[in-house]
Amino acid sequence: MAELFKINVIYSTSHLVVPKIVTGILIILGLIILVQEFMKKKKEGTTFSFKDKKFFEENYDKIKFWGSLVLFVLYIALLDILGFLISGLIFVFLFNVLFAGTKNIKSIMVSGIISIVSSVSIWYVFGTLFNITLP
Amino acid sequence: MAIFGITQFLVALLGVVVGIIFGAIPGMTATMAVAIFLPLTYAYDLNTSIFLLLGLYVGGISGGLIPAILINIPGTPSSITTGFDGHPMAKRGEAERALKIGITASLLGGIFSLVCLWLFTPPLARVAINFSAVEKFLIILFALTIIAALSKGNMIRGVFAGFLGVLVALVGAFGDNNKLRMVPDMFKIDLMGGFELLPVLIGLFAISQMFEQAEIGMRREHGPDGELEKSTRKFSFKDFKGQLVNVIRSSGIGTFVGVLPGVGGSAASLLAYAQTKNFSKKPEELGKGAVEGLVSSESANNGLTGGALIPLLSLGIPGDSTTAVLIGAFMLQGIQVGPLFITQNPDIWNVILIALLLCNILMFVVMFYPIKFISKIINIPPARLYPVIIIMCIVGAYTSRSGNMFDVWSLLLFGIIGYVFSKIGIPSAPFLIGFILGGDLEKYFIDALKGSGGNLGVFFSRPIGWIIWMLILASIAYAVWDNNKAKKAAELA
Repeated sequence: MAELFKINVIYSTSHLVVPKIVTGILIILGLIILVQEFMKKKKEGTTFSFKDKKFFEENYDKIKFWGSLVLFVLYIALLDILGFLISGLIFVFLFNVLFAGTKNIKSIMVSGIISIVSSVSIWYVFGTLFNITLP
Repeated sequence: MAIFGITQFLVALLGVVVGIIFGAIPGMTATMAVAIFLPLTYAYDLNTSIFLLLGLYVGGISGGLIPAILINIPGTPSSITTGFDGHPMAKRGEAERALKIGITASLLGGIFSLVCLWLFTPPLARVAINFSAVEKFLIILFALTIIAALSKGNMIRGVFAGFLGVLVALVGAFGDNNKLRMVPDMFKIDLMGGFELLPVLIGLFAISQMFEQAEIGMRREHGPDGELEKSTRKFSFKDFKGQLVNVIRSSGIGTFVGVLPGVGGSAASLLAYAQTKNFSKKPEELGKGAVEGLVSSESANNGLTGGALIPLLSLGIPGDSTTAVLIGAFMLQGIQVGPLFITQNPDIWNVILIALLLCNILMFVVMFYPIKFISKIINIPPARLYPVIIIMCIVGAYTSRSGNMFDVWSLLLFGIIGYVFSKIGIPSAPFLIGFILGGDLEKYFIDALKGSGGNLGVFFSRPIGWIIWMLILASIAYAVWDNNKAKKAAELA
């Protein structure tokens, strides 16, 4: 019985003790959540499936959502190659166009102005004024 | 050391104004404001950073009342109940009066919580100074169970998020034997020290918001605000006549909720609002534009600010997601927050109190007089702000280890994780708190076991430990009871 209340901490494996316990707790909690979901579904008389639960909002903005994800990945990937200022100029502009649209010339010009003002000022304030390392 | 000069004043003013902007735009929060401005603190000393960050915090919590009153959409979750009475007032032409009542109530709540912070933190820290590894472990465990107790019908998911945060915090090398765990071979070098705090929190609280907004098309959810032009009744400080008890009760509830880890401002204002309704002489008027309700909501959410700092500065446990971000600022400056904080850093403790007072006063001055101008903020389109926020986030992630692209990728990773969390109903705040406390939780657990030769009985061996165990059990019992109540209510509805 006393052995049950003992955890031997051995130096060479001590890094695994807590991760194992936490993983155990997570599995138990995860199972409880699944059972709860299952019971709820059963009560409502529907069968358990992931399909009837919509992940995205109805009529979600596909272009803006996936566009922002793609732009984000490209931005990070090109950040090191193009440098902070140039990639900032390009991508702040692209994000602006993506989010605000290309309805008219004025909107695109606003995007351009925001891109130039924000990239240059952030680059200047952080990089030059505060001497913080930028890509 | 001069703790207060013109730089500090200007930085606090900047913080308050930017905070108000973030608070006032629906879909952007105080936590986000603090998170993306954190990298700026590399440039300042801790002293000046505190003025900036507390300004953002106070401004961010307060700014939320503007859209809540004018367009009935809370600018931040913490002003969720402000619109209940604020918006009806605006509709009958009392928008300016409602805004000014809200701003004044915010100031009162903020000052009340500041007094609580000043009075209660040092004694709590004095108790905590005697904590051994056992008690330190138990208090973190208590922080995780209290998250569950207050997750309102979502108890298991709250704890799950907390422990998941703990697990993610354990990625990397363990300090005792320097062995890696849960690290794929290709990231051996980058993940030696685990995930950095900055990319995790900026990802969870800013990038995930960006994805959520992109999903709904970055649209503005309202038309122009015509309500402010007409004015049928002017504001007067006499509006607060007879509200003293209400202000004290609501600020008190706000401060108390702030002390509890992982519970956000929305719980503070909802609880305070419910109590105001209970105690009201005319409960039927609440929700129809009663001054009482508005005062309650706003004094409660600003009461949160000081409250959330109490456990942070006495125990090293953040009271809400924004103060969790503040821990990051202290860590960046190499200062350990915990029971020894006040005795070891009396100057910084004074700076915090002065900065919080100044930021509350600035918030009032900046919002109260030019309210007609300030309330135009809600017309700023998020579509134009998010691109700028994205590059601020990238700067923040990149600088967290002075220039590592891995951290920028983790920023995106945690942005996606935060987005998925909100989709499947797992709260991000407990995750962050688990992540911040995870390393300590492990350290104290192992230390306590090493001290006892592996005997788990050590966790029940000291009287202070028993008290914390009782609190843990009480919080779990409350969680189960409250969870069942919430479920029954849901079934009836």
